[in-house]
Order: sequence, then C-alpha cells, then structure tokens
Amino acid sequence: MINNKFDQEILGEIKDKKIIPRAKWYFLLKNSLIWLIGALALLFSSLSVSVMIYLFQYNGLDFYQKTNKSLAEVIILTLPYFWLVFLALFIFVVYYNIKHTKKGYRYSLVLIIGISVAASLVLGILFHRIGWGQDIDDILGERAPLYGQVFNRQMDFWFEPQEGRLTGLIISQDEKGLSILDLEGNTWEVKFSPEQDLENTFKFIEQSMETGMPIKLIGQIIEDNQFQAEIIRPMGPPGRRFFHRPGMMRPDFFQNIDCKKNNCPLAHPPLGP
Amino acid sequence: MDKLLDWEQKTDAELVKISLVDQDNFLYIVDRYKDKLFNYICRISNIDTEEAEDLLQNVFIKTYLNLNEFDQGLKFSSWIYRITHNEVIDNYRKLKSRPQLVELDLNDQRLRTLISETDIFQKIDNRMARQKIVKIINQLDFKLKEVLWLKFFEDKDYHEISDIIKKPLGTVASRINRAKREIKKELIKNKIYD
Repeated sequence: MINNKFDQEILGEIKDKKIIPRAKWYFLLKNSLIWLIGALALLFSSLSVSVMIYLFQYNGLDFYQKTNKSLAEVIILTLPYFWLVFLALFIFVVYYNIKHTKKGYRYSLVLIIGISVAASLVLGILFHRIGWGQDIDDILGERAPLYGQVFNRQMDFWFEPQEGRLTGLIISQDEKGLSILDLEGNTWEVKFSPEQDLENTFKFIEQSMETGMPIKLIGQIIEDNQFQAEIIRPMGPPGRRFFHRPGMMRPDFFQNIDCKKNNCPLAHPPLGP
Repeated sequence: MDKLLDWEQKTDAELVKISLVDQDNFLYIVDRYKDKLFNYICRISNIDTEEAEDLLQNVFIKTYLNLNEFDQGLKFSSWIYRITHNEVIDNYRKLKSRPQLVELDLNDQRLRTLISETDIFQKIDNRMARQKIVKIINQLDFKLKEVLWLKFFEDKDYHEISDIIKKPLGTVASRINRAKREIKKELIKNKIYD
C-alpha cells in the first residue's frame, strides 16, 4: 500500500523544486515543429521523385540492345540509387513525425508509409511538370561533385569507351565524322560506321546536331582516341549543365570553329526543352 | 467535508483546470488516481512497493509539469495511464532481469474472465491449475502482459488501450490475441489443458 504521506510528499516536491506546468506555447511549438519537419520531409521526398521522373524520361532504354547489355543490367547500372535512398530517408522522416503528432500513433506503419509514398508521387509529378526536377538536376550537374557517379548515373554509364559507349560535346562535324570532347577533356575522332544508315545519320546531324551539343554514341574504339560510331543520339537534357563546367567548355577547343548560327551553341550550348 | 464532496463530483478535466490555477488542487488528481496507478505499476513492472512509489511520484510530477499538454479530445485517465506506461517502460529497461514478484488473486473474477476468454475455463477450475495460469501470465512478455492487464483488470476498452500505449487498434487487438494464444499454448505444454 502507498504510504499515508504520499500526497503531501508530491505537493512538497512540487513546491520545493518550484515546479510549474510548462506553458501552452511550449506544446504548441513542439507540435508545430513536428508538423513542419514532416511537411519539409514530404517536400524533399517529392522533389526526389520529380528528379527521378525527369531522369527516367531520358533513360535511353529504347535502344539498350545495342549496348551489349541486358535490360536488367542497364537498369541496375543506371538506377538513380541516390534519389531512391533520399526518397526512403525522407519518407522515414515523414513517418517518424506523423507518428509523433498527437494522434499519429493511431495509424499503422503501412498506412502512413503508403500515404506518404502516394503523396510524394503526386507532388513529385506536379513538381516535375513545374520543372523543378530539371532545375535540381541542372544545379547539381553544374556544381555537385561525383555528379555522374551519384546523381545522374546515366552520365557514367555512357562514358565507357572500352565497352563501346561514349559521350561528349561535338566540337566539329563534317560528312565523314565528328570530333567530340569527352567528360575528361579528351578529344575523339568519331568515324561513321559503314553499317550505319548514313542518310538518316546525316539527316539527323543536319536537323538536330549542333556544335557544342552533348551526344551519346554506341560503337567501338578503333585506334587511340578514334571511335567508330554505330548509333549517335543527343544526350538528352539531364546532365546538360554538367557540360558547362569549367574544363568541359574550354574556349581553346572552340576558338577556331566557325559558328554558322547567330546564337552559337558553343557559347550557349543547347539546353533542350 | 463539503469541499471534499465538491471535488469528488468534478470531472478530471475540471480538476486539471483548477490545478493550473492553484497547485494545491493537484492533490485531488493525485488522490483520485494514486491507487489505480500504483496497482497498475505493480502488476506490470514487477518492482517492489518502495520502487513503485518512487515511480508513481515521478508519474505525478510529470503529469503536473505537462498539465497544459492534456488534450480534451483524450480521456484524462488514458493520458495519465500513458504517462505511467512510459515511466514503467523507462524503468523496465533498467530492471529487465528482475525476478517476478507479481501475484494475482486466484479468486479474482477478472482472472476468471480472462481464462474464460481463452476458451479453457470449462476445463480448468481447480486451484492448482489456476496457480499455474497466474504463473504463465506473469511470465508473458511485458507488452502482452500489459495489454492483458489493461483489458481484463483495468477494464479499458481497445481505444483506451490504444491511447495509453500509443499503438494502433490493430496492434492492441493482435497483442491481446497473441497473449491468449501464448497462455493456451503454455497450458497445453504443461498438460493442464488438451
């Protein structure tokens, strides 16, 4: 049984230690912070979805057969792991914060995670349509270290000349081939393959390719810094700012090039849609 | 005497309000809940009376400190049981290896209710067998024992238990079912029931 003086001991302790109830604003602030952090986490998870959608739009899976890799291999090599982990992390933060709201404990893990993922997808699609996914990729492409290894693995995937994949900027072009500048600042002479549909290639080059434009190629190395191309495609907008980095657009590579257009792409590489 | 009658008629929420105005009124809350919470602590935490009293004192100090957090959308009893639950959990982590000291009254009607809900009551009515059941209940995992206690010995419904232990209703239901299954399994193992 509880001792008789228990009540008085409690009151005595409250008075001795001068304990006073915490103010209402303390709890209001605490609850608001929980909601705010949860909302911010949802914003970040949605942004990661918008970047993933943007990257997925230009994944190049339509001609994966030409890369000598299986579809599964291409997917594994180009999956945006960073953004997936980023998404999972912030979904967890959303879950944690919802659980710590006043009535959050009433909802199951599956329900909270399910709603958080669904909300991230809906907001992610919306942010993608606004263009935020593209904006984030542009900023990271221009500034982030390890961009190709971490943020946009397509970039790294397409820069494996030994395996027949090459990417870079066009620095000159004629009927026999192209000169390109790769991601490490090396120049490559690109010959058109005899098996290539030259008529279509030239049409493609004439209509779509401009000097200074980032492209990706499938083919093989024929000599040092010489590449025979079977397929040539524009690199696509993701990673476009990566080619703006100092070293990528070195003026000495382009100074002798005659810009045929008023708006020379070497000064302002085409940014795509 | 009049004052005593007066506070007995007040609701918990009213007592909270007057405690915020004058701390001496907090004693009414202490008086209303001390025995219930003391029993709850003793039954689920396996600590001696002295320690249970210390723990209960912490519960009331925390309750007073957080009085402004009390949400009218929740029953005050659920809220104060939740504070107690949290305090017991904190304490339990330190005392996990302590021996079992809990004893239930073998003739307690609530124990009979629990047994009847495990579908074994018809076959078990001797004192020896019921002693073993008490032992089995005491050996249950803390999480299972706690929900059993709240359901059968504190007469809390699933919503209140959910508010106290801060888990979804589904978790409460599954824990109660699991506890019943564990009891039945142990009874079969001990050849008390087949």
